[in-house]
Amino acid sequence: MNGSANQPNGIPNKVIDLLVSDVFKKNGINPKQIKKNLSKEEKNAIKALVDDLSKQVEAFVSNTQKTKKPKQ
Amino acid sequence: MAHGYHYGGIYFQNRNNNRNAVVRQRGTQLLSTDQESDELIWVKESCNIAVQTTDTQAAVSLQAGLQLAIALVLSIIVGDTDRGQSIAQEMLQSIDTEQSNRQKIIIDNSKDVNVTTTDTDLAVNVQALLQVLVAIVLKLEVL
Repeated sequence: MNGSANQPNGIPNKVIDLLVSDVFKKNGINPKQIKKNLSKEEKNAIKALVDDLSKQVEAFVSNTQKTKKPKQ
Repeated sequence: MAHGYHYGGIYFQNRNNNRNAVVRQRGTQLLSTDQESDELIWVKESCNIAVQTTDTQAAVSLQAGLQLAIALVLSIIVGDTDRGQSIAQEMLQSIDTEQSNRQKIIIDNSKDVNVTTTDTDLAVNVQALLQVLVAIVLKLEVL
């Protein structure tokens, strides 16, 4: 679902991952603990939100790339 | 999005200025997107000119949506809106986006010209924000 990994101009996923881990750690957020605390509804809502935004970004990026190559 | 066709000595100008902050808290200017796009398209004494430009507004709203989503997910995670926002700020200040795009296109005394402009910076920005959102959610194994 993460199409951004294929983008040569994007920020490498590992950098983003490290950034998120670092901020979590500094703020005392334990993902494993959080995972247990999240209700099914919350998980579904987050999933739906991410899916929706991913689609929007994908559509926008593909549209931008399309216009990069004019016919003439 | 597309600005259609322009015939003859038509002058066309499109100007957008956006200052958009999704989460702005007292005393900080983090988690903000600053964007300015200036576009000038001048078609003069020409015919059969097609101009297509990128929709900056769409990207700006998408960016705002992503920032909001990041703050929201973090707020759910920590169970505290203020703390969630503050963590989102901390996360996004590293990739704080500020950009200014200016373009001028002047078509003079021409016929059958097709111009397409693009804004790759915007695409990179929204992708970076999506990456952050996905990384957060992946850590929680929600996806």
